[in-house]
Amino acid sequence: MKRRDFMKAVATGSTIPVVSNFVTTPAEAATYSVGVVGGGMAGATAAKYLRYWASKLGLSVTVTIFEPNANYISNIKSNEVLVATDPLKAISGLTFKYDNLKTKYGVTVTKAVISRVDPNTGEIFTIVNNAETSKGKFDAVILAAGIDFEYGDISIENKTAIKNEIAVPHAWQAGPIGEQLTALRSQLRNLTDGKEVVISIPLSPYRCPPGPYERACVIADWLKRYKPKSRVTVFDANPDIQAEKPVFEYAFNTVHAGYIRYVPNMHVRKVVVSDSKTKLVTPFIWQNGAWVEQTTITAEVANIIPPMKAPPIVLKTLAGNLDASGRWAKISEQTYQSAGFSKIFVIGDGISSKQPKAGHIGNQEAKVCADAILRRFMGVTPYPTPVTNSACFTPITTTEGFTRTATASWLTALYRYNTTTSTVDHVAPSPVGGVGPAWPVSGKPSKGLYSDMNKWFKTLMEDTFA
Amino acid sequence: MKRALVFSGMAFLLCGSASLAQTIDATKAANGRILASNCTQCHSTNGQSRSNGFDSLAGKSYSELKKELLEMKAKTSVGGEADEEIMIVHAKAYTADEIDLIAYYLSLR
Repeated sequence: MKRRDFMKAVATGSTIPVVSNFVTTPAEAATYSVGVVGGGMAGATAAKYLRYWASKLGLSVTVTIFEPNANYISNIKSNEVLVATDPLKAISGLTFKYDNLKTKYGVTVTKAVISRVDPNTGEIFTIVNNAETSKGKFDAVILAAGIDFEYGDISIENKTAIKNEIAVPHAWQAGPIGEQLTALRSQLRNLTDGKEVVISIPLSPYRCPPGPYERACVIADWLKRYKPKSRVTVFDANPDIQAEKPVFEYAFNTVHAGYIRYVPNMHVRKVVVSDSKTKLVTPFIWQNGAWVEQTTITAEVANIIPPMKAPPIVLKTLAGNLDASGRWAKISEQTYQSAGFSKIFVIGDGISSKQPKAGHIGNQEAKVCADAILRRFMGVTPYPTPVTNSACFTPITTTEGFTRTATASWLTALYRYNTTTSTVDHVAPSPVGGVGPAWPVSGKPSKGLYSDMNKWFKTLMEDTFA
Repeated sequence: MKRALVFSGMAFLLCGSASLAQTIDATKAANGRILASNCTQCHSTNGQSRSNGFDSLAGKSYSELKKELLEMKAKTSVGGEADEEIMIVHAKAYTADEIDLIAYYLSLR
C-alpha cells in the first residue's frame, strides 16, 4: 500500500461517508503478522490498537498475544487491596479478561511462557516437554513483558518455614493471583498494635504503580484507624521523594503526621526473619565509597521492594542492544523499535527511558508503537514527534468504610520525541508568554479527585482491554 | 453533507455543491490520530464517554475542540475543578499545531 493510500485510509476509517471508488486502492494481498509477548497494559493495548486501526485501514494484520496468565490483574490501584475488607473482591475488581480483545478485535491470545525470540527472524519459541517449540515467525515482535525483580545484594536470612515471598513480600506484582498482596494484607491485619511496619524502596527506576509513597499513605491511613499505636518507616534508597514531591510531603507531614517516618538514602541490604512476626531490617548508607551499616529496626511487617530490571526475555533477545546499565532495552522512542533488530519492538516497563514505568503511559507507548508498525507495513515513514502522556491518580486516604474521607491526588506529565537528540523531552507546562504562576504538575489531595481516580481507572482499562 | 479528501495539496471534491462540500486532509487525519490517541485513555477509545465518565469528545466540531484546547493552553492562572486543571496541563504541553491536528482528527469521529 502506498503512502497516499495509508493517509486516505486513516481518513476514511472515520465514520464520514466517502465514495468507495474515489481513490482506487489496489487489493492488498499481503497479510502481516505481529506477535506480542505479554498481555499487560502495554501488550494488550498494542494488540487492540493494531487490530482496530488495521481494520480501519483495510489492512490485513494478525495479532497474537503470548501470555502465561489467564487474566490480567492491575497493579494500578493494587495498594487498595492491602486495606480491603474483602481482598478477593478487591482483586476481582482489578482483574481483566482477554475476551474483548479476542471477540471484538480478533486478537489471538495464546497461553504460553515464551522462552526465546529470534531477534533476526522474529520467530517465537516456548518449551513443551523440555523441547523448544516454535510458536511461529512474525513480521514484527513486540516485547511487553513488564519487569523482573533483582534481589541482588539484599540478603534475606529466613529462619522460618515460610517462603521469602510471603515472609517479606514485595507485593509489587498483582498477578497472577495476587498472592503477595494478600500476604502483605494478612500481615497488616495480624500486626500487634504498636509494632513497626517497614517499607523499603529501591533505587529508581522502578515500576510505579503501585506507588511506594502511595502505599505508605494507604497503610498509614489504615493504621490510624485500626492499629493507632503503629507506624510506617519508609527506607528510601533514593535521595528524595521520586514523584509528586509536594503532594507526598504534605501527606507525610500533615495528613499522616506521626504515622509515617520517611528516611531517604537508606538501602535495605539485610533482612533477618527470626519468626513469622519478627523481621530485623538493616539499612545501609553509601558513604565515602563504602556501605555503612545503620541501626536495625525490628519490624513485624517488612515490605521489601527489590530493585527492578527488564525481564529475561527482553534482556536475552536484545543482548548487545541494552542501555549502559544492562538492565533495560535500548529502543527508539519514536517507534519503540530496537536499533539492532528491525523486527523487535519493546514497549512498557522494560525500556530505558525518561518516561515512567507505568500502565497508563505503557498504554500510550503501545499506540505509538502500533502506529509505527502499521506505517512500516505500508512503507510510510513514522510520525516524527509522537507524544505520550503519564497521568496518575494516587489515593492518599482510602480506608474502606470511611469513603467519605477518601482522597486522592494527581500527577501528569507529557513527553515528546525530539528528532535532534533522538530521545524524549519531558514537556513542562508553562504559562503563555512565560509569566504567571508556576503550573502545577500534581494536585492537592481531594475527595473529588478520589472519584476522578475511579473514573480514570475505568476508562483507561476499557481503552486497554475493552 | 458531501465531503471530500485532500491529499498533497490536491482537493478532490465529491459531487454536490461546492458551498456544502467539506474537505478531509488525509495527512492531517493520520497525524492527528496518533496524537489524539492520548485522549482515549480518559475519554474512551471511540470518544464517547460513559454516562458518569469524563466529557465525551465525539460529535464535537473541529472549531469547537480547537477553541477549547487553545483556551486551556492560554490560561494564565490556576483555578477551577481538578479535572480541568489536568486538562490545562495537557493542553499547555501540546503545541498549537498539535492541538490543530488533534482537534481535526477528533472532529472526524
